[in-house]
This record gives sequence, structure tokens and C-alpha cells, in this order.
Amino acid sequence: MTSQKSTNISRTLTWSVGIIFGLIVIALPLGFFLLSYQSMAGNLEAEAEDIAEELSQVIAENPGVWEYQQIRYMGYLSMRPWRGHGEARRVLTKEGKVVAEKSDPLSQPLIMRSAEVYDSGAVVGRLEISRSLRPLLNRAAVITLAVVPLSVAAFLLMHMIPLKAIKSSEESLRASEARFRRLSQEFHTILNASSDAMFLVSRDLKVIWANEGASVLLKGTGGADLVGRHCYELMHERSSPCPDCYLVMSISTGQPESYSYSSREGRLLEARAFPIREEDGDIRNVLAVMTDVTEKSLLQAEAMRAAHLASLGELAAGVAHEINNPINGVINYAQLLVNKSPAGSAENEMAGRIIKEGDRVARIVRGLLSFARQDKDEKSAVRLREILDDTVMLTAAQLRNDGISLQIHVSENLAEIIASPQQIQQVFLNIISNSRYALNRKYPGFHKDKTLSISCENTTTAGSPYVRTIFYDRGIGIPDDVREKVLTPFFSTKPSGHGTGLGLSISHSIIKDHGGFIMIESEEGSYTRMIVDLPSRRQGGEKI
Amino acid sequence: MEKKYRILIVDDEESIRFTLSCFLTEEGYDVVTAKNYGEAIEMIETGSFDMIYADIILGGGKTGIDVIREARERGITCPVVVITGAPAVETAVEAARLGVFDYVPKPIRWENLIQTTKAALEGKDPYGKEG
Repeated sequence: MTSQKSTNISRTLTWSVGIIFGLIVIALPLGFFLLSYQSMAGNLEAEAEDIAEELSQVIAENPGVWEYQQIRYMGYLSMRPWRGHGEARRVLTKEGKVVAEKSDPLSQPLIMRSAEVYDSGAVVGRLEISRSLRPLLNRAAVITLAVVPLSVAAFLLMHMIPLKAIKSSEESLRASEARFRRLSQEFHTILNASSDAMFLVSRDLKVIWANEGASVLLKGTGGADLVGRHCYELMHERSSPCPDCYLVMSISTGQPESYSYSSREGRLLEARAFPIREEDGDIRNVLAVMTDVTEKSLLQAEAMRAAHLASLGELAAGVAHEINNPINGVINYAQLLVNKSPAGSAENEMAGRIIKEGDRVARIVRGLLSFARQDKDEKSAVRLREILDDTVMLTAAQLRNDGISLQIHVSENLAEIIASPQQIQQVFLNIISNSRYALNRKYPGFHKDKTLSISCENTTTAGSPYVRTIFYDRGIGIPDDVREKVLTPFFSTKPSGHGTGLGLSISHSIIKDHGGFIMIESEEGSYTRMIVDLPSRRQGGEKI
Repeated sequence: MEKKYRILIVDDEESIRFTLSCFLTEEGYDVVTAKNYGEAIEMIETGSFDMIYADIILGGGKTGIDVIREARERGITCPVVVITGAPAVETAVEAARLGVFDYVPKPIRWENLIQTTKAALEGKDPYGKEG
């Protein structure tokens, strides 16, 4: 489009300049010739009249015989205005008969002027003076020859300069257009990539433009489907503008306005209106930007809850020591009363209740501590073998005291896991504690089957690498009807005072937080196999 | 005559020191208490013990772990039971590395105390070692 336009301008300019210089080429020599011709003709005429007058005076000296005095005329006929300028001068009778003549050789074409000759006041003949026009034509030709190349050069110069300027401005325009197109595409991409719904509405609240986000939000199949429709119809299924519409308000105040509301689908939307001012200062359109803040609000609420819980956890950790010490004192003092009072007495019974309630406080504090620890630990790449070794070191004495033999098998080249070692230790301690309980219940004393086996190996589940740890004991097992419930918080099969019912549920939540799984295989009275899978970092070239 | 075992209880909480001391004394043990790190080290230096109960948090920037470390450095190998109101895996691992007999979260109950003490001291008997 631009190129065609500039070509037309260029062609018009070329023709204009061509015509102007063509006219110059013609007009300059022609003008020179005409002016020179006029000058020459005037000179000849004046010359002829002067000489004719002088001849008339000569004739007047001898009236009636003028035709026979040629010799007296020759002097006048031989005179030339300047050297090298050939002329033909003739004296002729009225009838055209030559009386006297003095002619230089003259090339055609000729210019001739005449004046009348008088004898005694009567016209008797005429004097003719002729000159050649050839020198004049030659000069005109020389001028033409000089003007043509100059004109061509000037034409080319005049033609090239505007063309160059046009080309330059054309290139600049083309670059500007390309930049504009690119910017436009970039803006469209950005606007469409935004998850925010954006649409432009006119003063009468008709959609002029909408991005993909608006299309999704307003359930259209494309931004164009929304164009031309009223925003209140699209968003609120209304036939008239909403009362206190923030878009109308923005148009009237000329200031950005905001508004929050819930969509028909229950999404929480934060809407903002930005008036767009024209050059004359009028506001004809307003841009609406709508952000779905449902997730953000939920996250904020979750973050607040987490912060609240974290502070609760920190508080619990901070005060646990302060609570556990006095509660231990209370329980112990009550125990002294129990020990020193007769069984069945009111003092004995009340002291027993103090112990029971004290235990309850201690259990609550312990639960809070577990919760606090669960949140604060950070994950890093660790070797499961080291976690297991530390855990075993913690429990080895207890297991030995209980007469439980421990068998550990860890496969070589065990992959690293991304985990909080303390949290995984907590899980392992909990599982081992449960195994101890199950084995001690089944075998109160020594038994050859009073064994806890722990094995670790690399494994793959659904194409992803995991490290699998299996805890196998031949304890009392878990009844079928409670196996599904053991991961539920506060569910415990242990007698009162032996478990909070939080251990396995916290373990489950820790492993889940690590992207892993806990699986339980058990048969009542026979065995329990706890399987803990934790995602691992696959090692280069490792075969699992 | 049966040997009377001597037990050191290190805890900054007076009620714990008093009640644990009562329980163990009633069981026939000779009990000595220390309320902080300094007192504990002084008693370890001047006397010998068959067993030590050490609280973790003792105040003054010192812990029961410091007491155990100091005792081990002095060649005392008697069983040590750590008692704590703020149980944590980190301190449990540290205690285990120092070879403690048990790590018991507070509240430590009377029955548990007696059972743990007996187990620890019985575990010591076969070797006939003294702290």
C-alpha cells in the first residue's frame, strides 16, 4: 500500500521534473532566437530607414535622374554595421528593377527589411537590406546543445534527490510499520497470555475488544464473540447497566475504579476500570481488567492459617519444656500421695485422678510438639542409610531391652532422597515403636520370632524412582477392620495411656508431604509389613 | 549385704529432683541431686555414681548433653538416662552417640522410672563396672 503510493508520487515527480526541463530545453534557445530575431529585425529596419533617408538626400541633389547615379549610391551600399556581418543591400525601382546592389554571400534563411526612397517628395523606389539568419540559428543551436545536457543533469539531480528522500522516508515508514506490527503482535500475545480478563467498553458499555482471558471468563468462544455486546448482558445477564457500575463510575470520574464480586460460578473476582482519555480530553472508552483472585484468596487464607499454626507450633515448642516440667512435678507429687495413702481412700483416688489429668496435659503437649516439628524442618538431599542408622542407634537399646532382634538389609547404591532427615527419623521411630509394641504384646518374654526386619532398596513406581523401606515384624498384626483407620488422626488400638493416636497419622502426613506413600500389609496375629516409599534422585546409569 | 546403688539426678526443676529422689530413695537407692551443670560436674568429680539421670535443658546455656560429654571424657561409663521436657530427634541422636541407656520424654512416670532404673542397673551388673 505504502509502496504503491510512493511509486505514484515518484512517477508524478519524475514527469513534472521531466516536463519542466523539457520546456527549458525548448524555451531557452527559442526565446534566444526570437529575441535576437526581433532585435535584428529592428536594427535592419532602422538601418534601412537611415540609409534610405540619406539616399533620398543624394537623389534630391539631382532630381529626375536617380536611376542613373548608381556610383553615388555604392558608398552607402558598401557600408556594414560591423565586421564579419554580411549583408545584401539593394536599391530597386517601384517596379522591382535593381538600380544598384552590393551583396555579400549570404546563407539561407534570410531576414530582409526595406525603406522607401524619395525623389522630390515622391516615392520612386526602395532600399532593401538582407542578412542571413544562419549565425543566429547557429547560436541558438549552440545554446540548445549546451542546455540539453545541463537540463538532463539537472533533471536527473532533481529526479534523484526526491526519490532518495522518498525511498528513505518509505523505508523509515516501512520499518515503523513493522515495528508497530511487531509491537501490536507482542501486545496481543501478552494480553492474550494474561490470565486476567481484559475488555474495552465504549461509553454505552458495549464491548469493543476483549482478550482470551475475557473470553474464558465470559464463556465466549473467542474475543470477537463478545464484541458489540453489552458487558452487563455478558456478565450479569441483565438488560440494563448494573447499579453503581464501576465502569460507569470510572467514565464519570475519569479515575481508575475497582470493585470485587463473586461470579455466577462462585469465583471471587477483583475488577478494575481504567478510563482511556482521547487527545481532546474526552473519555470515550474504559478498559476493564478482571482478576480471578479465588485461588489467591484461598492461598492467603491458607498462608494465614499456616502462619497461625506455625506460630502455634513455635509457641508449643517454646512452652513444652515449661509445661512438661511442672506437669511432671504435679504427676510425681500425686504419685507420692498415691504411694503413701491407703488404697481405696479418697486421697488415693483423687491423687490418681491428678495423675490421669496430668498425663492428659502431657499427651496434648507431645501432640503439639510433633505438629510443630512437622512444619519447621527443611528438606535436602540425604542418604536414607544415614537416617536409618541414626534411628536404629536411638532404638537399639530399647529393642535390646525388650529382647527384640533387629535385622537390617540395605541394598548397595541406594539412591539419595530429598527429605527432612528429622521428619523421616520421626516416621521410622514411630513405626519401630509400633513394631516394639506389637512384638512385646505377642511375645512378652524372649522368643526366636521376636524379630524386626528392616530392608531398604531402590524401586520404581509408575516410571518414577523411589527408595522403599520395609519394616517387617511378626507381632500381633492389625485386624482387617482397623487397617484402613490406623492412618486416621487420634485413632489408636493401644490401651489408654500407650498412644495418642497421632503417630501414624503424622507419619502418613510427613511421607505424603515428601511425595511418598505408606502402605500397610498385615494379618492379625501373624505379621505387619509397613512399606514406606520415598521419591529418590535417580543416579546416572543406575539400574533399578 | 546387697550393694546400695548411688544415683545422680541432674535437673533444674526442683519438683522433679525432689519427686524422683523420693521415688528412688523409697526403692532403696542412694540418691544425690544437682540443679545445674556446675553442681553436676562437681559431684561427678568428687563422688562415684552407678547411674545418672540428666535433664537436657539446665539453664545457663548448658545442657545435660554437656554433662554426659564431660562425664564420658572423665572415663565415667555408668548408664545415663536422658530426661527432657522438649524431646527432639536431634538431641536424641546426640545422646545416643554418647551411649546413653535411654532417652525419656517428660513426664517420666514412677513405674517407668523404677523399671528404667532397674533395667539400666541390671544391664550394668554383669560387667561389674562402677562409675
